[in-house]
Amino acid sequence: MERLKIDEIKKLSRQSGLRLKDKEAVKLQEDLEELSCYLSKLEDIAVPETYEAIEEGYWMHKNKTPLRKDRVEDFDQKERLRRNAPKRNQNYVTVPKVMD
Amino acid sequence: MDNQRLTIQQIQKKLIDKKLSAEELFKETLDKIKEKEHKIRAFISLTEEEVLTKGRALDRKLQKGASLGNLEGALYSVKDNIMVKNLKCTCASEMLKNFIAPYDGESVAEVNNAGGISLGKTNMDEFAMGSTTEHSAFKVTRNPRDYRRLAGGSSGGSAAAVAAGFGQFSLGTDTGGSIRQPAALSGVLGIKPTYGLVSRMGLVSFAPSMDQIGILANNAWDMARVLETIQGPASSKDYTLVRRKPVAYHRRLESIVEDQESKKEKLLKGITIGIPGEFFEIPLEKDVEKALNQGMERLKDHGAILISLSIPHFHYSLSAYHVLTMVEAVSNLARFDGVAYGNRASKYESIIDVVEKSRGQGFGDEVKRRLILGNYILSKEKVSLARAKRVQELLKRDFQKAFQQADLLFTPTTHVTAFKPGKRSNSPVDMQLLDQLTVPASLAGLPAVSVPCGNPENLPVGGQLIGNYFDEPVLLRGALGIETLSETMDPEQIKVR
Repeated sequence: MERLKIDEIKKLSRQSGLRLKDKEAVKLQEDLEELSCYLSKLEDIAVPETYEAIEEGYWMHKNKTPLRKDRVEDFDQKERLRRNAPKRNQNYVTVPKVMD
Repeated sequence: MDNQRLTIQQIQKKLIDKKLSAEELFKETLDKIKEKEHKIRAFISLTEEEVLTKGRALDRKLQKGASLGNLEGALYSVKDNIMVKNLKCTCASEMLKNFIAPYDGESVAEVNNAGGISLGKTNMDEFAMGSTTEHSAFKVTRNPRDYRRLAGGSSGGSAAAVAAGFGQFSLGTDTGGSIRQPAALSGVLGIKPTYGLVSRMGLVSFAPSMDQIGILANNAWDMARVLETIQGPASSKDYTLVRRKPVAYHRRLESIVEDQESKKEKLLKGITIGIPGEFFEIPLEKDVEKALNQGMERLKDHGAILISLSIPHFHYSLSAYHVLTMVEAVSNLARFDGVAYGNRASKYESIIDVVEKSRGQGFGDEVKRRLILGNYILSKEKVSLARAKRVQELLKRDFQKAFQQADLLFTPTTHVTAFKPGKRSNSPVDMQLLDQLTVPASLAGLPAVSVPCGNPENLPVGGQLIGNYFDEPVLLRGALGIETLSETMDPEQIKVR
């Protein structure tokens, strides 16, 4: 991994839904460079070029994960969940304005 | 012996024989918390009043001659990323500092149904990302063995609480070693069960393909009792991978050692323990090496056969672990945006602005670092992701080959003993190296337990036992075997500096 430029760090931070100050971006630039050793270590591992060539994974049992039936169930915690919303108006979660 | 150091079975016996009342026992624990918590800082929230009320109710129940549930008489704590109804579930983050859990996590509900009484929620690294609890937004947890040092992490509050005698056990979570590592540094036992054995319902996800709820306790007996209680299949029928009959772990141990007080000679007779060479290639602190060598000698004395073997892809595991968990974290923490979840920034101009400001203010440095690196991998280094998945697969096969030769593997849990604040948190790589001996079992989904196996210089050293899938009964037997090595680990005999 090459040393990322500050602009690239800021672009990645926007993709992460974060806004960084310049000082924070510089600190992250150093940290990420240090962490890049993790990525370079993996370069020795060969991987198949196509998805189809990937061998089936080993797993501890042969059971399939059961899926829930897709049905509506009554849930008595609605009010408790709404209480945790950042802002609310009666039974609704108030979200910031999207369009003027 | 200090009442807080008794096993749950011993507590129940005293309660039934009227040698101790539950109110008296619980008050002793609360007094201990009052005396030491300001130095240790293990808890984020405490439920003192409820504890005494429930203690009095238990005494009334005992007076009527009613039989006791599996965990009645036991006090426990819960890491602050597992839901306990009506208590804050902050994940040690500003982002969730006002979040009140609307329901109990499955494991918490199971413990409560068995009579366990919650003391409160314990401190941790923010969203379980870290290995020291220095990344908590609220406080840094200190090691009860030496207040100048850290308790480890991310379940540092849980490890410290158990080590300090604040209850009999704690529910923690382990993604790459977050139960085993603090358990080792704090001198308690910590088990990460087989992935899927315990329901994750009610756990705030960090990397759900590896997140697992487990137990920190002062002895293998209590660990077996709690595991018996929280094992799946969950009543909600979700979040546990496997449909299988419950195992009576405590009874299985009892069948080997009839009397808990008796000598456990030949406890490990017929058990082959593999020593994977690669785990010992990591430079270990002298004290760690010394304690582990002594540990291995004593394992042999207990009847185990020790053999050398190899986990060839061990050295890739930390890289693979960080790539996989960072990518999963990106997805799992996307929901905390200040719109529907999490704290909302007070001033904003648009919806993009509210998300960026809320997340920027709500998340700490370590979380931000992992989110940005996760997004980097997703956008530019997808080949690293494929390689990491490949390493995970190769590691699983390495372990299966090893388990054809051995019943358990014995390794160090950490390469260091408890250290002082700031020593490792200044370098993200230094901090992540703390997980290097615990992540292989996490990547493979295997059960593993850290057990105190010595304390040169008064600082605990943990030895890690790794078992095959669902081999927790053998793992607990091994843990009980090593536990007998640690007579000097009685916390009352360790000088608190």
